[in-house]
Amino acid sequence: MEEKTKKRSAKDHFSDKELKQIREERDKYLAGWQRSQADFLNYKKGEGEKFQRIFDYKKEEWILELLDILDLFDQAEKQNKQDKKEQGKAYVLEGFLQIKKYFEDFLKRHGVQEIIIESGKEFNPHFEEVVETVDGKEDGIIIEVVRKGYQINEKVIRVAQVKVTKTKNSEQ
Amino acid sequence: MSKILGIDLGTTNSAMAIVINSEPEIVENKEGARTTPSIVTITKNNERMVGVLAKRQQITNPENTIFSIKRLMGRKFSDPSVQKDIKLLPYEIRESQDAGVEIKMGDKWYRPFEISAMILQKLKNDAEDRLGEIIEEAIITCPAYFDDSQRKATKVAGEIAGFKVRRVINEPTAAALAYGLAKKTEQQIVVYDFGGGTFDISILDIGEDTVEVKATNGDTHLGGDDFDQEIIDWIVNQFKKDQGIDLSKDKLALQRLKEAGEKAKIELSTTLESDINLPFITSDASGPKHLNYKLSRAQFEDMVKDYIDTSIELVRKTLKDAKLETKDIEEIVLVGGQTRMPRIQEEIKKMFGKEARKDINPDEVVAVGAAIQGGILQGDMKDVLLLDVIPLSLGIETLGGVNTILISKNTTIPTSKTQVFSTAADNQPSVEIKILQGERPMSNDNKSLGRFILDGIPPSPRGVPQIEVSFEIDANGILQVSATDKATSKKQSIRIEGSCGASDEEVEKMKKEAEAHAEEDRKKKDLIESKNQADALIYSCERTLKDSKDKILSDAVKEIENKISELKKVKDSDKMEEIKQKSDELSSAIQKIGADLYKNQQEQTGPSQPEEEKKEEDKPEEGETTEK
Repeated sequence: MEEKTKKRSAKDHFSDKELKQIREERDKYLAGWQRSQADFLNYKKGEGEKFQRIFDYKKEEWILELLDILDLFDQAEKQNKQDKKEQGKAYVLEGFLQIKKYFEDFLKRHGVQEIIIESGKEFNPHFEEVVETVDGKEDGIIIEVVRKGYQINEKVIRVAQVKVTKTKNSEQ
Repeated sequence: MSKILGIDLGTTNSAMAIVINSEPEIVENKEGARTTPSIVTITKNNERMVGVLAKRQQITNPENTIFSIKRLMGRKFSDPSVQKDIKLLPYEIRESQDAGVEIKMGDKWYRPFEISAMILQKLKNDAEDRLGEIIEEAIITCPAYFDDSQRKATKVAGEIAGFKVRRVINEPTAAALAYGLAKKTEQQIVVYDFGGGTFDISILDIGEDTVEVKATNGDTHLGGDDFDQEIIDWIVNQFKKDQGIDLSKDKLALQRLKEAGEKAKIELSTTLESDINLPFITSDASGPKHLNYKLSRAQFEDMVKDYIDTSIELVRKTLKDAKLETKDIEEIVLVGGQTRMPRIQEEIKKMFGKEARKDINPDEVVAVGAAIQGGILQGDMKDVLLLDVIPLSLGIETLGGVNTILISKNTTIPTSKTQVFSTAADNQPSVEIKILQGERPMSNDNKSLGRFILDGIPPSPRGVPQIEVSFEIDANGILQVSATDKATSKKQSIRIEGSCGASDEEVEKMKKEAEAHAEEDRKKKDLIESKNQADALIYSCERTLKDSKDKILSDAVKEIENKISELKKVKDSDKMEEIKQKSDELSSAIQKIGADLYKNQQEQTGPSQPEEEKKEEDKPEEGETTEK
């Protein structure tokens, strides 16, 4: 009943010609609205693809630098195979440590910083993750850094993994 | 009016999403992650932590770190599943005064919905920070098997967190919404949800205005974590055999194995073999020990076969409960990270004879669906603005039988694209516009949607006429293709209905064929392009010789003619390298001539004068795009 009343009102207010014009206008606005929405979505997709290309390009630059480091490992490996004497092996180890420094310098150049954690400090979940507990006098005191954590531009990209103390009481 | 947040409150992880500009988007938490561990803790300093911060200290504080709280939501203490979970969970659980469940965290006892409220509160705060506005309302999802009391507990949790909970919707329904399947009436849909800790299977019946859950089943203790454990156990056993050391007794080694196991599992979804490489994994009296094993996809699939078979059996059982057969199912939706495993996808395909829907990130699809529900309630997701994409690219055939794409697949419609083309031969009087649908670079390998001819092109050298070809697709997928000669304004067009309406099977088939033949097609297209370029170069060199013969030394003319002749000999062969080489030689030779011609002209006319720039904008080139 209500539906019929509504329809009658529209016809009362507008002539057939006006109604046709209004419908055409509506269709035109709807098509325009849909087109704007589609253009926006396609633009978003395009931007997404652009970001991916930029990301891939940047990744290539990083990999090229990492390949230099891999080359050094190749040389160390070759040297290690050739040198059988104990003294030679010590030199090879020295070489490996140098490669490690080379890698650390590479990370520094790209803004990567080690999260410095001191033993004896209290555990902070913003920078550390507990992987093992050992008996101790207090709870949550760091006794060893098992794996280092790193940040870039003060943003933590990887938390450190630590061993912390746990009192016997807190094990109940 | 504030937006409605869609929340997937998961057993292991939670996620949230919101509709922005009619599109659902995942909202990252404060830590920048798209999912949040469903873990809450109280530290000894009475500091409450939720999410990844709580997870990081879990080992040091297991009694006060509450996880998998969803398993206890709305349940009675005497519930068999609660009694089973009590044995597995490290925190204290007791019966509340009303025969429900209470959990001890710190010095206080909490109801499960209070713990869930803490998770929801973190999500709310993080969403408000991220979006820069207050979020008052939420849609929260729950498993389809949740009873009234469990749903009420979920709603109360939301209210305590400060939300007005508009709806608590089923997770499989949310997944169906995310894929737009709730619009497709009279359909039966299977939602296969294989998460980290739980497996759920649901069959939905999509009605006119409703989505009904016809049957549901699952295993609340089967998930991706079990798959990780299989790999860890395998590594431990291998190492025991090889080195005589039991790594399961070494907590730090076990932590590395856990990470390596999950990494290997993920890798095996895209590669056939994974290298598990863990130097310095442990040590003994003889020195450091290293671990390096290769795990193949086949081996891994064998390890977890029983779990996958269990899930498939549950699917069969659920179909039986719903009194349906596999052929009655129109769509299958995959939810949960474990569904990325190729073997699981193959088993589903084998069972139902069709590919499952998996385009949306399976870890996020439920949150996305919840956001869409919020958008619909709020009027952000108007039906008229739920736009389709074209599943396959549209283009026309160009010189050499090449498919030149004008509109790429996955472009949202309505859309249009215009590009200017030209003729391939001198005095060509007409062009045939053959409309193609598909991804393959050669015209014959794609579907032809239609063709028409535009004639009456005035006699002109090849490459001079400008034929503007326009593709226009409306929101209903109706394609209008027109070609207009810019010189005469003569126009022809064709209207194609159902250009987006290739059946799902056809679309899948065409996409697979394009992938399978990608390398071969690329070589074919490169060859055709080399030939076309050789043709164009020969034509342009012959014209230059014709127009400037009297200005060029006869030796140079002879050299060019020889180079042209050599190129003509090879250009119809399939030897792409030879064609490219001869083209380069001719190109170098003609460039020398060009340089000489300019030098001669300068010597004749004296010091250089500014030349009127030739208008390049009207010169059509193959592939020149004019955006309209």
